[in-house]
Amino acid sequence: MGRLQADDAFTIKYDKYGNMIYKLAFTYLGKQEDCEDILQEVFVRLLRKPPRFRDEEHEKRWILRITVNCCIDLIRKNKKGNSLPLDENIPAVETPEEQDLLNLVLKLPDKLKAPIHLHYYEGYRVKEIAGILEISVSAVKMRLKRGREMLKIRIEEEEYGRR
Amino acid sequence: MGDDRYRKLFDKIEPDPSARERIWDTTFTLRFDFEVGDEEKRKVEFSFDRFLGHITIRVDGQRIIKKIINNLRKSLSYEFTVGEKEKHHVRIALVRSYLPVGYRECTAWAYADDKLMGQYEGELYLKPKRYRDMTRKGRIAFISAVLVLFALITFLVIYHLPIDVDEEVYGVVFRAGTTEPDYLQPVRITVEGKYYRNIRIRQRYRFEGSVRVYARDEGPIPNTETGETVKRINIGVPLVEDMLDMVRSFTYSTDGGVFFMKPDSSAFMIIVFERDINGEPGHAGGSDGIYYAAPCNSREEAVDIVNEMRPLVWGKKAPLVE
Repeated sequence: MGRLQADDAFTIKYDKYGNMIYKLAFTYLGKQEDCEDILQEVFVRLLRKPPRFRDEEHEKRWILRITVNCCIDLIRKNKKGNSLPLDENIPAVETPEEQDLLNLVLKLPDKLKAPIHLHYYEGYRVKEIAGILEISVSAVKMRLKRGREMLKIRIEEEEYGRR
Repeated sequence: MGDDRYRKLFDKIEPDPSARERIWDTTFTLRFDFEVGDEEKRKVEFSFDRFLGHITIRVDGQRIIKKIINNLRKSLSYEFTVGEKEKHHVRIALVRSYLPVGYRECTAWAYADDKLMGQYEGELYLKPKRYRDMTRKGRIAFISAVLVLFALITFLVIYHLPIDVDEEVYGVVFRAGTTEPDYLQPVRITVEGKYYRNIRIRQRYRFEGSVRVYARDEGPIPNTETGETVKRINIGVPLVEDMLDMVRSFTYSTDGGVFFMKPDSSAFMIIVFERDINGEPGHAGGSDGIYYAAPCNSREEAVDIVNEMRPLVWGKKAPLVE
């Protein structure tokens, strides 16, 4: 990478993938500060020594996998486990329902978060998620099923509690 | 769970607009500012992009220096004057490490009229940040790993240093077995040179120097490879590990035989290549072969040395010589 191209490269990549990384990281960490750490870590890796990408989709999937790995590393390091305190200053969360849903997503076991997010937000299919996360198709199916069930059960519990 | 609820929620979750600049700055830029002047205050801002090598210095927002510094340049210094009525001489010095490129640690010092205004550190992004964030247990593991690595490197360096060999020993040359019990002559063997070790499995030891065999006090023994200076001798055969622990093996010469010595130079043996009827090197080291052994004074002592060292060459099942 040429010296003058680095800044441009960072800007282009950030505009392209910054949101995606942040959103995925948010499902794991739920805190703006931690998510920015993940953004930083992923971009350092991307700019410093990226592998040769076949195409944009390959690059995107690599970034998603790295993001998941970085999040898991950070969680292990902080020993936060699944009981993450929700960042209270999230401008995005406007209604109690949204806050509840976000809470539920954050309370999901870590290994269910990426399949759920990649499927329901990024729109990846089961096989593609298996490729990104380097796990079997059946494992992805199982995690999606468990994630759906847990969210559904929890949503019902929350709604029941609200009544 | 409705897909839409999830999508709508995460559509709204976005990084702070200032995050991009903040990430770039904290990862790649050393930035600081300070004020100069008592009555006429001037704000000096310094920015060094460690990734690109851009240096920008501003005074009251006005850019006065913008440069791209050479990638190999390790230190630099800028001097300029600020103020109109109240003039001050400002100097900013920067020193950075060579590696790793693009993520270098750097330190800057700012002086106004030779008075230190501040020292500013641009830390290496990756390792120190991780080190700083490590738990106590993690730090102990990290330091242990560094120490082990250091010890390993030290061992390898020491292991590869040449070892001087300068020995003169007295022994005998004899034919094993019962066919020629009178084949016995006292000899003097001198070994001078260095041997080198490396961590490869094959050709692990290399000897440079000379191995000379003399009849005691009567000059070189005729019909042997005596007196030949061998410039560079490599191990000729792949050797088993337990043998390597005990014996350093060097090809003495292509014609003469194979020279062995214990690593502490406490015993030496030469297995002689005898020539066949066509004059070609042939039979060597059998139960009736010719051996040099040292240090010893009798055939019995020589047989003991040979029997001690032979199994290390041919394995534990090698029959003993008589």
